[in-house]
Amino acid sequence: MKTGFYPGCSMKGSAREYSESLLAVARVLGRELPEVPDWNCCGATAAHNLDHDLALALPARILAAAEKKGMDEVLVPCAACYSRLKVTRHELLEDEKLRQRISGLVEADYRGSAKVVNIIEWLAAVPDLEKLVKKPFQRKVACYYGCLLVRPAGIVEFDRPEEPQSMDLLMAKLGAKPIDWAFKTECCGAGFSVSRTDLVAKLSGLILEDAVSRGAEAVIVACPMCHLNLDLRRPNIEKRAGKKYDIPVIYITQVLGLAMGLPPKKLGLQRHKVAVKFAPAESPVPGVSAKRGA
Amino acid sequence: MARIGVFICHCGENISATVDVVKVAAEAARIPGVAHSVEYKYMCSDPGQQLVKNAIKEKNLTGVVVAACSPRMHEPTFRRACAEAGLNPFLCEMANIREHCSWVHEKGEATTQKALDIVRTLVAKVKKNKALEPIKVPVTKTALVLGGGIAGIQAALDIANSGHKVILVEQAPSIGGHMSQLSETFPTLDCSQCILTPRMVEVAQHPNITLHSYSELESLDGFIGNFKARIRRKARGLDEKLCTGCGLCMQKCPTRKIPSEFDAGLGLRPAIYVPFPQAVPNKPVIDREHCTYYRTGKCRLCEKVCPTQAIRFGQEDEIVEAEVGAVVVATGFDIKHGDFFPEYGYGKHQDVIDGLQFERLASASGPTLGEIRRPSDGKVPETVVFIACAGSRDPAKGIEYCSKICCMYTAKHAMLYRHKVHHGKPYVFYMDIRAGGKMYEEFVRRAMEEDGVQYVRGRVSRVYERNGRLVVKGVDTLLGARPLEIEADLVVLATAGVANAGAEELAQKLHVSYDAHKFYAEAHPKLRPVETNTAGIFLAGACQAPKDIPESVAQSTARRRRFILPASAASSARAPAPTRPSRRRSSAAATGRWSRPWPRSTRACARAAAPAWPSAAPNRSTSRASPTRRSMPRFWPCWNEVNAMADFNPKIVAFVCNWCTYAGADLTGTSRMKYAPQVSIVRFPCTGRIDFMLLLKAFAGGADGIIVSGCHPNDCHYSSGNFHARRRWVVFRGLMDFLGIDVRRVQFSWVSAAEGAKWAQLVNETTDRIRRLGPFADYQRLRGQGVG
Amino acid sequence: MQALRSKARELLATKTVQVIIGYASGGGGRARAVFVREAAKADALVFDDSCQQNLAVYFSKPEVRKLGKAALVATPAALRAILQLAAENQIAEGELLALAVGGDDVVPLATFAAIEAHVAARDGDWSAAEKEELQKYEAMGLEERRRFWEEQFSRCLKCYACRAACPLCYCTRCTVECNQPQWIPVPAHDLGNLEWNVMRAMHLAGRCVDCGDCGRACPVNIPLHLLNRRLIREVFTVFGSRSGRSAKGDNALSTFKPNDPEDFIQ
Repeated sequence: MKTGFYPGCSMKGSAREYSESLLAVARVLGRELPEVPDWNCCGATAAHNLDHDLALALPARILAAAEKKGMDEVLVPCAACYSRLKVTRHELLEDEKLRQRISGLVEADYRGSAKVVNIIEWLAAVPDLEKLVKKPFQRKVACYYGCLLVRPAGIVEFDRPEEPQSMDLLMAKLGAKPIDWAFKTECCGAGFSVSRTDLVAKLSGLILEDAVSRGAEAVIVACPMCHLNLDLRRPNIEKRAGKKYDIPVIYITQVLGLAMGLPPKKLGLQRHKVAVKFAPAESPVPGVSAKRGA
Repeated sequence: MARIGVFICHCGENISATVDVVKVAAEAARIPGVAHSVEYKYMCSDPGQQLVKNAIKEKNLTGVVVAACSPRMHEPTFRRACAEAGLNPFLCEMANIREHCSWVHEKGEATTQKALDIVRTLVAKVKKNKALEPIKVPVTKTALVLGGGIAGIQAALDIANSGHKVILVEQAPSIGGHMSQLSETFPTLDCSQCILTPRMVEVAQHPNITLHSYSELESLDGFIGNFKARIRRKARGLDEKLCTGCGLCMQKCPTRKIPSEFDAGLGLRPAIYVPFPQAVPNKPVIDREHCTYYRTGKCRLCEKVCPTQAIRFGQEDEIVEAEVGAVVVATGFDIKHGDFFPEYGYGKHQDVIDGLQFERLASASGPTLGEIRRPSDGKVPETVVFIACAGSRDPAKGIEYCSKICCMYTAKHAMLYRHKVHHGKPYVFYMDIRAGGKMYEEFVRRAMEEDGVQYVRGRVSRVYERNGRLVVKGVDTLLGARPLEIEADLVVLATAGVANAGAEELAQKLHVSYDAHKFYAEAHPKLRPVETNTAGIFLAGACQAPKDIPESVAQSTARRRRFILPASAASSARAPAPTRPSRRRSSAAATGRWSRPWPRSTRACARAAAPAWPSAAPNRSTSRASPTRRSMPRFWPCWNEVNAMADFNPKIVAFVCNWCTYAGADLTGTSRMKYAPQVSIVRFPCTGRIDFMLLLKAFAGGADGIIVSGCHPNDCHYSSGNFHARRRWVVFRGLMDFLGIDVRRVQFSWVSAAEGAKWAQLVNETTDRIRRLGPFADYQRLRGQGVG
Repeated sequence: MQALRSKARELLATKTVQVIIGYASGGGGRARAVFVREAAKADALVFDDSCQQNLAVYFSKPEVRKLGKAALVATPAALRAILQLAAENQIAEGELLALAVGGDDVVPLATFAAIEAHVAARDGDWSAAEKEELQKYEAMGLEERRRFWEEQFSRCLKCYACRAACPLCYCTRCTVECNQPQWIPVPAHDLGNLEWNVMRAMHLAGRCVDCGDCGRACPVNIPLHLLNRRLIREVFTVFGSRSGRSAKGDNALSTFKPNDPEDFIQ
């Protein structure tokens, strides 16, 4: 099984630590993750808002390149890129005429042989993951799936769209205690991070409030956008809510790395806005401490 | 010398809108052996039937073909008409040019030609039919009613009151069904048990009714008028003759914390129990799964305290055999339980309950004695949110249909809540209100206007728990899609009505058809709603589809009439099953249809018709690039042949079974789904009856492709016909492949009577594949050599 | 051979059987069937490599049955045929004494159980050569096979020697002899020849005991036995059944399992 890796724009930029931690973990797992050659931007929201053909052509070019390189599957850790690539593959395999036309546009005969997998699917397929855990991540965690990992159900066909469990199960394998909470798939504000930061402050604030009120010590994510809204926008959230939230937001690959005993710097934990520090076990209110960065 | 009469029906416009019936009648007159050929607007009407009868007498007809709707619809009608005119009814055939032609193809010459071909096929068949006489068998005047809910009770009483004997079999320890669990019924708000229990008692006391409760049907053999049923009376664990129903055993039983099925899990019961105090029969049952004695070998307290020594540990099930004339299936329905709406938290939060559980809360004899209380802490809820359509009308959840009763019972629940909790605040989240019965709309209005139930049009996206209350997140679409959050104390889900857990297994025992949702299939949705396709087995109540009490009762009474009339006869006539129809009919069909070359006019029109299908023959400019062409080198060199392939209209014969696939194809027609016209359907009693030689004969007759289709395994009308067919096909395919005959030209499938869409898809895909494979030139070359 | 002849003499002399059905020398180094009714004529019996014919075929002929209880010189294929005929209720226990010949030994098998045990002890797969033969045809593509069989069947005379030679073709009125309607045409043309051979193979599916007599009997050397072998393999691979191993039991095509494979059914 030859697995390719599509980082997408954010993994090379604002979500650099996601990529760092993924590659560090892959090294321990002994998995090679060659990047899809000459990959381009998947188009993200911009393309599918403007032009249907463009929205399909950009991912199709990526997948055609992966196929040409003989890749059986492409790992797409960014949830938005994953959604774009998955939806594109689905649409083109359903409609032969469309596939031919888009193949023409990207000048490559796209066949759909390479599967598109997200980070959770890929990690869930690793046999005996528990055996690699050296330092169980014994914290209460709120697994946040966001919008795109498990929806639309008919296309993604992965986990349950309304009450997903795959990330929770994975975290349990790493020794964590996933909590049951109500905001697993509620919107964080997504692309309004820039244009309507006030909305993000509200929506992401609700997510954090629920997680914290149920005793979570960390929010685990598998999407750069989710991370950005929940982490980078923390000052906006706190301003609107009128209170402080210390709860860190960690990528699933970073948790895995920590559990494997890799040093935090290798996993890019220092790049977060909200420091990844946990209150001592005896603390009555986990996640909230008197001093910031303590 | 054959003198066949052909009668083409317009069926109003159902046939004549797409088929030129006048032309078909004119062309049919020219078929050798046809002495009379006419068309008429409504053949099945009185004047239409009179045309047939007159022609039989005036023209001395030796056979009749009525080209109209499906034989499953009107074959009995026309056979009766022929019999009245002095022609043996089995010399009358129907050519299905409606469900299998006019309704599934576009208007045009090709469709008219297909109708004519179907007529030709049946004319060829009827020439070879033999006159047959019905077989007289004595009829047993007892009915078997399966299911003791309101529908079964009503059916049993109606039949018994007409003077016939009834055997009523109920699975649960008591009759009553779901109606006995209800608190009050809509639209009258009658106390459910008050109107039901008198009937339950009447059943128990009726001299014509034998009640087997805590029993199940083990097997059913035989046929209408002469069924042999084996009933398993499960071991209650006591001698019913000695038990007085005093209830002492139940009071003393030490194992008391078992969730009660009757209370929908909200109440508890002991291991020896009567489901509810008004149970009929009022005799307990020992639940062996939870009874301490059966689990550990200790106790037997009930046996010690019983004043009449009625307890019998170690009692075994008993099989009772009965001969009955007809069977009424009234096995009812269930509501969907479980975690299929994870976002509503049913099963996670104790205070999210379903409709039946609310009924038990509201019921005066329920676990809270009629007070609405939260299951979690027993407090009276101040705010209750009712969520309608929790599962129904939702293709993504697999239930596309409307469960019919929920709008009404949700309004009822909200009203009952307000009547009991005067300051309570009920909300109902709905999509549409379906209140189409008598006094139903007024009932819902009353809930909204007089009882202050707040109706919100919108769906609920999530229910979660916060600080001990339930947060319901929804939307109010009538106020411009405004998001709404309500903090509720109790949430009631109106879950979908679904078939009972054992429905499929019972249907297979009875050989009745059922649909994808395991609801039992009626013989005809409009005209024969209480019968099944199996003669002598009738339907009553919600086992057919979700329905309310008035409908179930009406249906049971109607069904009674259907049973009584045949039962009143001393004997019944059985249509003789034809002994060797298929060979002759199919060879006639195969040869009769194409014994002459494919008419040129049809070819031209087939070309015109072809572009309708996306995978029609590619046009000239792309033909060179087409990979299909490249893979068939023998067509490549000659441009004429390439052209010919562009015109190639594959001929496909479908051998299908009457009970499933033929009915499924009828459904395709009734649903007006269109499919490729190149298929000619031949009806068989069963796939087990399809001789492999027929397939070769069809190829020899000019077919390019064949479809063989029947009932799904376990659903065969004759129990095992399709199982034998399946093995035969495996061997046949192996042989064909070895001989170099392309088995891709034969498509085997299972298509049930409910799978109209699948039939259309199957035909289209097969036609497409055969088109790409090209004409079956190799086989047809063999035929050119001489006599076929 | 001597053992066989003395056994035959003994059986006839003691009137244990009325006739021995065995092989005698024919012309041209071939063997032919012989019906020995007197002990004195037992020396006519031979048994060597030329004795291939499945003599069980005679047991379904009424003229032979009329001769009385028979002993049959049985090759392994003939033993299997006897068991299959028993399973199909064509022979009752005790109507036939099988004489299994191997080397110089003659093993009389009086009961079906004895025959079953004897067959089971010597049962095996096809020889390498037999497997290769079948594989050779399967390795051909569909088109090549089609041309091969078309050519083969073009020589068929419709003599029905294959049917006469087969012990399991015992229907008193064969389907080809019905002419109302004439399901399989009588004249020897390509289509009818194909239909006849398909019918023969299908009617023997799950029943053929792989004696090969059909191919041997064919006067124009069509390898008919290959069709039967292919179906024997199909029935075994897919349903796990083999004919001719038990005197009881149902044919593969008259039984079924609820989970029989159906991946080709849509």
